[in-house]
Amino acid sequence: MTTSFSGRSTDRRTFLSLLGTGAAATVGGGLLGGCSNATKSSQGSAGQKSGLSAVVPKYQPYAGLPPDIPAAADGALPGYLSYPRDLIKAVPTVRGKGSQLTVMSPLWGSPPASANAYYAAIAARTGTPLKWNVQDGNTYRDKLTALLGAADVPDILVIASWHLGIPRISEAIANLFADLTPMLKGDISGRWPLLANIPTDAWQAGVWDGQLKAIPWVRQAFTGYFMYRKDLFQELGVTPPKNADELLALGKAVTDPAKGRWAFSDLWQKGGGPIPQIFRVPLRHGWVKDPSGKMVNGLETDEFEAGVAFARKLFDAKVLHPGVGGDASVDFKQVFQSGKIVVTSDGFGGIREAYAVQSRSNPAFRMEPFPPFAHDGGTPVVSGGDTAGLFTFVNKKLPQDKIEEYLTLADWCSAPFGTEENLLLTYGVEGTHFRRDANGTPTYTAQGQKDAGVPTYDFLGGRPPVVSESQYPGYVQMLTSWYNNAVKYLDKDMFDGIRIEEPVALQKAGQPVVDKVNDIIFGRRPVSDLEQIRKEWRSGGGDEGRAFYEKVVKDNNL
Amino acid sequence: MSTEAPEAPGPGAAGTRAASTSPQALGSKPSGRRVSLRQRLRRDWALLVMVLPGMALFAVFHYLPSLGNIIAFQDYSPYSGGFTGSPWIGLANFRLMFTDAAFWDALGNTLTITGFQLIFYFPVPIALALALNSVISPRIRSLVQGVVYLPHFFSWVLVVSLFQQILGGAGLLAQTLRQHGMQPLDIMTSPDAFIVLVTAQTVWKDAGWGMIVFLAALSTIDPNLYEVSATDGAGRWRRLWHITLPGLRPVIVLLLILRLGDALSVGFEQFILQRQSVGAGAAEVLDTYVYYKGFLVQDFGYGAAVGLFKGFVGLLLILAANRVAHRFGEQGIYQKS
Amino acid sequence: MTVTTAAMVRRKRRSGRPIWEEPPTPAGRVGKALLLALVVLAVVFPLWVVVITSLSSQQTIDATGGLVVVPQGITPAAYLQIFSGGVVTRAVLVSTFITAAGTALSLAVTALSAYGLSRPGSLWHRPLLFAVLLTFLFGPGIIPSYLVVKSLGLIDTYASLIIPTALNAFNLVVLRAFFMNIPGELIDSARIDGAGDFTILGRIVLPLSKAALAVIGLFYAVGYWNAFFNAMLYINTTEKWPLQLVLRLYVVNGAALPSGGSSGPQSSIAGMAPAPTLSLKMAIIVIAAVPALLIYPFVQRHFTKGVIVGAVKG
Repeated sequence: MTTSFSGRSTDRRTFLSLLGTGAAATVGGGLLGGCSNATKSSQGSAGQKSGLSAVVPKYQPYAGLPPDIPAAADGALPGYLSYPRDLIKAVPTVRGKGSQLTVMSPLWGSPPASANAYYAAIAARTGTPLKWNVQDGNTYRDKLTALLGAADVPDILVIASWHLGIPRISEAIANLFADLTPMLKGDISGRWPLLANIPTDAWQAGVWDGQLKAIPWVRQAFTGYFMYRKDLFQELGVTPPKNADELLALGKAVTDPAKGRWAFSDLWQKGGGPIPQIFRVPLRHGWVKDPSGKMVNGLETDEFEAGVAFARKLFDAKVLHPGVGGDASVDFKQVFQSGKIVVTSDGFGGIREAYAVQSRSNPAFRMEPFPPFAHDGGTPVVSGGDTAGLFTFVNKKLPQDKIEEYLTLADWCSAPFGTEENLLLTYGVEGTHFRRDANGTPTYTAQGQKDAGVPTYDFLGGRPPVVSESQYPGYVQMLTSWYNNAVKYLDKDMFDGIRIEEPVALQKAGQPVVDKVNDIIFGRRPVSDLEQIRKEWRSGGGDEGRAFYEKVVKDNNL
Repeated sequence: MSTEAPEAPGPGAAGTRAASTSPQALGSKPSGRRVSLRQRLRRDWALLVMVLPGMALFAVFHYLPSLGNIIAFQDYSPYSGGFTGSPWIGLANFRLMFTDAAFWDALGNTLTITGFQLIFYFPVPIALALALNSVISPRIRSLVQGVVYLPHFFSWVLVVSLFQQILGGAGLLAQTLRQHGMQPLDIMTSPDAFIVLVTAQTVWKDAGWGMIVFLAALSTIDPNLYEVSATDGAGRWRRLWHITLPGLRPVIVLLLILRLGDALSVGFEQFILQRQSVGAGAAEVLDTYVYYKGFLVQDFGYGAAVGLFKGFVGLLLILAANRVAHRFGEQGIYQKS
Repeated sequence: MTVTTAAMVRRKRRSGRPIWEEPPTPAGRVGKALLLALVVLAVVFPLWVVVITSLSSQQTIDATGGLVVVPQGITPAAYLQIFSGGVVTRAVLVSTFITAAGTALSLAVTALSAYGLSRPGSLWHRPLLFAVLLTFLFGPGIIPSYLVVKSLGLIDTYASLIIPTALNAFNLVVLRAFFMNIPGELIDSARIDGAGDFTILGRIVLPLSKAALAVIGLFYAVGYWNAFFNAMLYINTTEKWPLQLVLRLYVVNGAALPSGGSSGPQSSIAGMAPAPTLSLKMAIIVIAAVPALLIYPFVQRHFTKGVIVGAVKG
């Protein structure tokens, strides 16, 4: 189901802030803490950066199908302008030994039958049949809480990165899941060439306590940005802004309540938080070292204050859609697609999702990210996040040979775009699950949509993402050129590669700040209250967080 | 019966009557206290057998897992310690709770909303049931009955979106006002009007559903009472006051007491959804507080502590309400023996 | 009995109004009509919006920017898409079975317990009632509940969806209140005639409590039909999923998968326009409410006035 599956590509921040969860969820990766896990007694913990590369596979790029548009740098995505007809056979033989493994995985979409032609085809191709247990992704965290608490886990378990916020999950990971380091460290390109094709930073995210515990599912690095309706911009005769003032002026120019049209949705905290991005608020872990060597949270910076003041200015100028305050009940994707707003904030998967919905009903529909800009017209900063979106863990009780058999299967599942394996993985069997249209692009049959149209095997391996939506005119060129430009401005974070569990006090301090900052942004408190909010945050756990991060910096010699 | 019933037809009355006449119930009288356990067992064994399956279910699926609430006194870790191995921290969770200003704010909001809804929501299903019951045409009656309970099946997301669609800043009302050159009203985002808004939403969603149990109660009132009373010259309102309401009273009192036991819960989703639009100051209730301070930061012990507090307060309220009910001659939830 | 029959006959005359009841004043009539019309409108209008939106195309939804009030081109695409998902049809059967079996079991257990606790002065009834009340106030957490169900071997069984929730304290207490409202003479006279408690329950109390049983049954049935959380926790095999669990997957919670893989399904079923997300959501609400719509007339039938009269006098 294309549409029912829509959430798949949504930025996780949208999801979390929809639930009204912690500050980290709403403003960048960890501005105020909350993404990682901790408990009362846990004063937080952090892994060591040094030695990380020793436990993960050596990166050995797989020479697959050359892209039509290459990526300019690490972090940008290569593009393919058509679906290739001649595919590479990456895994020539059936390598499995026929062991049946059980697997549990989250699902966003309609569940496939537990035995179907797609599973059968892949089982035949890989030689390792799986018994699938797919579970609602929206309640997956509750299920995991119960399963991990009862130490009742399947052979293979898929966990999304944002599901890792379960109490003391690192204890569960240590107790329940196998250490993959001995099998995967070093050069594995001979035995598992496709696993060796997974970038190092994604692998590093799978390291807990010095052990490689999980296979990462790779996503692109950008968290989200301003998205605008290019078709409507042309109609209205306006162009993307180059600084904050132009953004405000743009808002005033296009807002026309009598016609039921407003300029913006929530640009502060949704879709990666584009306003904090243009004000260069540090977003990923949220902490930076000031010139004196003291750790400072994003909340405490002048950039944050300027961003808040600007967000308030947008509210006061009445250029936000009136539903923005109560946005939990308003579906801004729909509002944006309807043209009731012309600029929104979204993750990059949101573009594909919108095209999938609109390409039939409104072929003129064009959704693009703004070219990166900064509030003062200077050099922009674009926010990035973890590139491992999901992790696959292996039960500790599984015997060594079965673990290796699973890794062989995961290697098969990691086949990149342009391989026969990837076609089978994504679209199933030709004739049964998909047909090729006139341009050679595969489209699902009804059965294909049921069996292969929702990700199952897809999650079990990682492959570098590409842009391949050639069925939408101009899409691949548009997105790849944006990535190739924006990658120059992708932010760096001093804590990248360190798995951090923040102290619970810091996490608890987060939500009150989100609430109070919302009060400012939506006109219920003056901007001048920010100083008071900072004070309350410091005493409510912020200073404890500072001490924690200062220790992390010291321990790692950052 | 028909003559005395208008005065006291409640289960209390019925119960006393039963107690005074049935040989079984003699045992409950003070003078009968001497009846030995064996005699009582012999007399009541059938009742105990009947209760057994239900109690077994409660014991296995409720009491046994509820023992897990001891984590309120622990620094609970599900993986390394579990329920038996996690370190005990005494009342630390409770101390944390009582010293947190946000907790008191949430408690205050919750109690205010409960009080408001007791006045402005609780009577609505009763009134609706009475209004419907007085409709004579069976077709209209079943038609209305057949639709008003349906909103109960709507999710809160939908209810809030529907309100947003109609009353929100970009909704039907606001657009109409704008077209007539008027300033749209600030209904969905005003923290001051929030309590009215959530109550209106609750009335819309659940009043029709809540009405059903009162309709059932109304159907058990002896119609002869009305006839006798009418022949005695009692008018419409007098009959309502002297027959209908007393007939409903046991159920009303019971539901009121149960609602009081649940006084510290006013809903969760409805408030999470509208938290941003009115701010946490108005929308933070105990359940959302627990979500943010317990569940979301994975402090299950803290969540359990607040849960125990809620249950304890509920228990006190139920016992107090029951006592008040007894004072007014009602049976309440509990027998007066 | 004769009196009652006569009363019934009289009541049947002239628009069902009993003869002793004074004719309504015009003002009262108008007021009541207005009130009921308003109530019905307040419910029917949103229902209309939900149904129409579930039947609308993407173009229509885009034109209105959300929920649709005026239908423009009706399409059953959302319903077709949901039912073409394959597992839905089976899930309907599973849910129907669970609801039927669960409601039967729940009614039996609840009626037994309610009667067992409804006789004044019976042995231990006070501590037992108190125990019932406590379940109302203190609830178990997820992990302990899971451990109990697991140790009973109920994981991935239908029983796990029925037994743990078979008895509800609220329903028990409400049913008990109805039982206690039954005139004591009836029970006393039966007892004098030598009837035991099981006979009294079966022959007198239950037949007199049809309305209450119907309501409690409805509460249970709706509870079973709507339940998803236990199924999410305890069921592993897709084929055993109840309907709510399947339907919930169509209402993607604004969720939540990291963007960017090449392998994401991007296309739609060949030759079939995908139904709009909003229509799908609305269709799910409609589908979920249909059983309630179907059951309610049977429940309502028991709300007829005067049930108790015949029994008392007869």
